[in-house]
Amino acid sequence: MIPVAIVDDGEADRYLVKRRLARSGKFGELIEFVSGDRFLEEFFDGTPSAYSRSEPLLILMDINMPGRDGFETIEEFSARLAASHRPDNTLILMYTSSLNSKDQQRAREFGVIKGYLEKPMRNNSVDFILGLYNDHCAA
Amino acid sequence: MHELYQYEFAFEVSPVPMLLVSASGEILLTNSLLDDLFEYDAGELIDKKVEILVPESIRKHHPDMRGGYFGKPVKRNMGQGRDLHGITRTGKVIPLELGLDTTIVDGKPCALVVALDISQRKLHEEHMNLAMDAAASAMIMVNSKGCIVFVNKAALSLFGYEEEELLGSPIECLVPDEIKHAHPDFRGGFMSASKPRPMAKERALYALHRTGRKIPVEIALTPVDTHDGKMVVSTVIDLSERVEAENAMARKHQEMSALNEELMQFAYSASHDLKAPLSTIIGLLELCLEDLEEGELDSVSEVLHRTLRIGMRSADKVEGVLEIARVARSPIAAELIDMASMINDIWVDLTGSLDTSASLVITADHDQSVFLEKNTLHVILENLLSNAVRYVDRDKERNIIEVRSRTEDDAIFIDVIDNGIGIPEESQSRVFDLFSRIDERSDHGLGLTLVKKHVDRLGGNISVTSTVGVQTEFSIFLPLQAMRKAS
Repeated sequence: MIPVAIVDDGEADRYLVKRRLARSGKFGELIEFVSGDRFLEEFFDGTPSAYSRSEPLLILMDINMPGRDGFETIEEFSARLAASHRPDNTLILMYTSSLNSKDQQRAREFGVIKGYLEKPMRNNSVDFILGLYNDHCAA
Repeated sequence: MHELYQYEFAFEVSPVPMLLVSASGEILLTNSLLDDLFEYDAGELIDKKVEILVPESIRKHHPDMRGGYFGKPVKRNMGQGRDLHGITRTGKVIPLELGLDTTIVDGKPCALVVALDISQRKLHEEHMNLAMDAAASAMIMVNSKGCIVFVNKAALSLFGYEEEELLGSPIECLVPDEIKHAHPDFRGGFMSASKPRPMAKERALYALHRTGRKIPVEIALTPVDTHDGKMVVSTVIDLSERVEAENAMARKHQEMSALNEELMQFAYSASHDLKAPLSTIIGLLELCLEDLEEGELDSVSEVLHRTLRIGMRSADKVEGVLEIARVARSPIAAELIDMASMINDIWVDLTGSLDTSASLVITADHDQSVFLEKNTLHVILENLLSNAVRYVDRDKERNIIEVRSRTEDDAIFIDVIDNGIGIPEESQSRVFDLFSRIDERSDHGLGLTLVKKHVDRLGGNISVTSTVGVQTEFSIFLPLQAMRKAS
């Protein structure tokens, strides 16, 4: 069962992800965050079980959010992860409705971002995620 | 030593009009050319005072001038630098050039005068001047010493001088200070080369107006050979309007670019921010159809309700964007506003349905009402107060929101201060940007954009200072004078 963190300020978007992933039956615990700051706080200061599992944590990251945007959140996440000497056991995917080619370009430039998923979440989006996840685990 | 008769023959063969005048002003001898010029019969002028030939206007002073000459007789032209005239028997005034020399006749000093009729030359000059005056471009003629010998009307109006101020002055009085020194050399160089050419082809050229203002010009130089020697005619074209037009064009271009950039930004933000909820709605409806096929009616109902909420929120957001777009460029009629009661009304509307612990403090140090666009001020204050209420710091014992306003020199200064959660420094610069949301409490990210647009339109200014966890202060300045004019 794949543990999931969804970081998105849109309640309906989080709901969609929850429902889609639940249907596939392959995903386990799903934690929702309304902003990048909340996610960072929880990941580094909280102790949810999802972060300590052996399976990599799937992180679905929105780009346009109030406060820290998706990219800024990931930058901060990588920096803090490196400083904490914790092993990186995550798979980060951008999950956005952004049409901006600059955003897609930027996502490619981030080594830790493994995919760019366009909203809304559909059935084949789940297959896409599973494909990436399995590749990531095999590598 | 000569005898008078010795002159008689010389006078008759002379190709130019001549006369001999005694120190006391009696005409002793004339030749027929002179008699003809002044329309007298042969010999008629003999023994007459020379003043008979002098125009009325200087006749009175002429004996003194004559006396002066005999006091210090040298060979010279009479009346250097001025136009000389003679008067004929019939009262016709003729332009003359007069040469003077002294001689002794029958033991007495006499003046030998050569009188050249320069009517033709003058006429020719006049035609030239008329033609040059008629020219739209400024024209200045300079002699080999660099002195101005002619300016046309266009030049006088371009440089702001009277004709007599410029005539005889060095051309350098029209040259800007930075090249005044080098100019005589440039001038000398041109005089010796003397081929028509434009001045200073490669760089911007300026001429000096009487007031010291620099005029952008284009100057063409043409050498001319005249009766009085080599001259240079400068044709000066005033480029002020062209330069001004170019500048205006450049400014317009810059404005357009900025506007275009703003529009692109808006189109991008708007399309993204308006597309996002549509994507979500599509996703939800797809899910809904699947739920329906599977007979999950409870789920169908829930998804539809979510879809509906997003639809309504989006409509609300579009309305907000339209309100910003609608902010009129032309002012709305101003009216007298009682600030305190307006703020109180807004406060009641905002907090009536809310369970808020915040308290409002109003400080106004002006007793009178202010004269402003009522609805606009309402929108501004309502947005600022609603933000202050939304971002209260629940960890603080007392939440205080304060509105201070004061009038000063036809302007009103309004500060809205709250001891709420504050705005992180990195977000402060974009609080007024379209769709800029600071945290999850933010609404559509339109309120402060609307406020700023209104404040800008009224010719005012809005700024924010904030310390996280301490306080946030929005400061507005609005000119009141502009309001009065607008009404």
